[in-house]
Amino acid sequence: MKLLLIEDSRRLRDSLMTGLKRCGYAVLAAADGEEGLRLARMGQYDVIILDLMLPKIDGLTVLRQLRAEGCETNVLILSARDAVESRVEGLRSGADDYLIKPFSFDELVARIQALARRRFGKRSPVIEVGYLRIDTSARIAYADGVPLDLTAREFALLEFLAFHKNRIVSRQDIEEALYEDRFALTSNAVESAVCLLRKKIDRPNHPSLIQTRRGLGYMLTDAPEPEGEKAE
Amino acid sequence: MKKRPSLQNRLIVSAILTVIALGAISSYVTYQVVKYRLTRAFDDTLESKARALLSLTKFEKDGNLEFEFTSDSMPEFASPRSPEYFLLLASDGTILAKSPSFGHANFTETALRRVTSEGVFDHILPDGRMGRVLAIRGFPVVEKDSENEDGSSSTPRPASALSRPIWVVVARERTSLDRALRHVAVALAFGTLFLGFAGTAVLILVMRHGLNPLRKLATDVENVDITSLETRFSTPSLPRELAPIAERLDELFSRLRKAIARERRYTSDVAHELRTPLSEISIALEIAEKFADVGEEARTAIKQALEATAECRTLTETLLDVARHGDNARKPPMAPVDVVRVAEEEYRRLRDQASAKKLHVLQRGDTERALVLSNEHLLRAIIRNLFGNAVEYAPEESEVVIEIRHDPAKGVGLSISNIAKDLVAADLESMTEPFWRKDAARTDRQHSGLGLTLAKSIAKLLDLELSLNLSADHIFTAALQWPATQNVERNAAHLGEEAW
Repeated sequence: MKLLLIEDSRRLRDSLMTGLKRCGYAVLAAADGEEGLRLARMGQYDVIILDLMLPKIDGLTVLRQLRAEGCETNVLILSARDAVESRVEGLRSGADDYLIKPFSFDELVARIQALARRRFGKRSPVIEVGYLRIDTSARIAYADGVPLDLTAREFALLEFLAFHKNRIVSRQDIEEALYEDRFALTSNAVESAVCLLRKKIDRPNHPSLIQTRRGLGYMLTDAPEPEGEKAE
Repeated sequence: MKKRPSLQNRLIVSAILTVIALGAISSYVTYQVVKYRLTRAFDDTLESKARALLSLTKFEKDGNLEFEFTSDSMPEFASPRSPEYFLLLASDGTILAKSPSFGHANFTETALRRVTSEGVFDHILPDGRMGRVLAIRGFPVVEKDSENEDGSSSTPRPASALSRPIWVVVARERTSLDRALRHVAVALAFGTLFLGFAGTAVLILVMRHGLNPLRKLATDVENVDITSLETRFSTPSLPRELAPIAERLDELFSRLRKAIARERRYTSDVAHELRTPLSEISIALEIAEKFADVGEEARTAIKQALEATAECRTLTETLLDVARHGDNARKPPMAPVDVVRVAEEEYRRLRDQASAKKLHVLQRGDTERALVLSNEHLLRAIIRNLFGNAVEYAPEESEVVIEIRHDPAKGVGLSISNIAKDLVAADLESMTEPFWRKDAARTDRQHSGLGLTLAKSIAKLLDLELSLNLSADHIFTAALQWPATQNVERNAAHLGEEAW
């Protein structure tokens, strides 16, 4: 998943970026409202994490502007203002969630996951695809009940495919969702990542649940077709 | 408490007493003056009569005294009713003539002696009435038979060599004088009384009206509380004498208002400003704990730093709560709350902690349900704090008593008691002060010393009375009392003692 973090505190911004990337998220960051607004307009994000007390343009103004322009991305506000009035104002301005500082990192991640599930219409944190069981909250995937040893990036890829279960996602979609700067990627970065993921989740003598659709992209499905038809 | 003396009453009493005293004095003086004048007039009348009688006397050539008095010309000296009296006395006291009114009676020797020594005096008349006697000493004319050169008779002139002095004594009853004096005295007395009553009534009205501005100022000051510090006392209609007081009060309250706002803002700002760096620290530590590839020592240090951060976080939140709820101008929303239910739920949170200390928690009460008008969130904060303190500070294996009573007249009361051997009576006054802790070294970092401060602020906000008590045998009791006006309903059932 791809996140946009708009936070003026450098220390907090750096810590959150480190932690969220370690969780497998692609994270872009802005230090002020103006930069945040620019980045938000340029890219597609699963969640925007927005501080309210920002230099240049304050957080609420950024939020209202984005909503006025038709931006549907989930927004989670981070703020030290805990008054009911502030929370109500934030939610009424278009935010989807409000987290008061100081907060727990685990709670932040849980709320981001909840917003992401909402985006993909998933209420349960657990997605099942065939013999795979993907727990998006615990960030653990199981194949036939056996936990898989996936890196954060691999899990993020699997999670993204699972959110789009039985639907084709293009290489471009994957690049947008999982990488901060897709223009810096090698041409076969996605293929390599898919290949590595397949090696970990595929069962011997069983069609891979990750299907390749030539010229279109990839699809995670619980009804894979036989191997001959999926080569790219 | 001893009642304070009233300035108004003091002024009224003083003024009334003064008016009455002045009235009495002036009445007395007036009476004396009137008495003198009337008596003087009376005496003048007597003297006139005496002189008239003297003018009727004449020494003849042979030395005999001729007295040309007739009852017809002065009938008062012969009247059978309320007569007047006269005597003509020689220098040696010999009675030369007396009025017909004497009859066979006479003046007493005492009276005769007083005639020559006093001149005018009061004496009982021969008829028994109280009278006034006046005596004058005069020289009757001496009859001289001489002619002028023109042949006319000359006017008789007293011849000092031949005329002898006589005393003319006149007496009359003084009843009329006394009656007049009595009337004057009564009139003056009534006047004084009327002045006293009317003056009292007028003084009371005038004083009350005059002291109205002072009374209003006192009432305004009395009604000021933490929520109305913006009250202004100085108004254009305030009297000159009170203006400096009102102006100074306005100034002091303005400073107080600003100081309180500044203090609250400071507390709120400090806590607020702490939140961001606390976030930074806690997030950095959490991420380090989760993802950093570090040794055991570093991991332990990170864990301890996270615990310290959590304490700081609790402290800032409590500070913010104290600042927020100290502002009693913002009343929280109120709704019916069952105190028994809230108490049970809050106790359940601490049950494990109580069990770990082998505390014996007793519930006492006379009601299954006690509904009051309150704010549940804030009420929980107080009850949680009080229960937490009791469980925390009660010695192991000791007893903690929670009591909820519902008196329709007094209202609902909740109390929690525990043994507190370390506390002394003097601690009770300080316990609700911010950051107070029994341990001066503040070794226990789990408690900031703000819990009771917050409880006190919230209790005030909810119009509750929070009282702290320490018995002689070191039983500490924290009690909340709701006023009867906050009762919603009662569902009473005697439960006796029951262990939770």
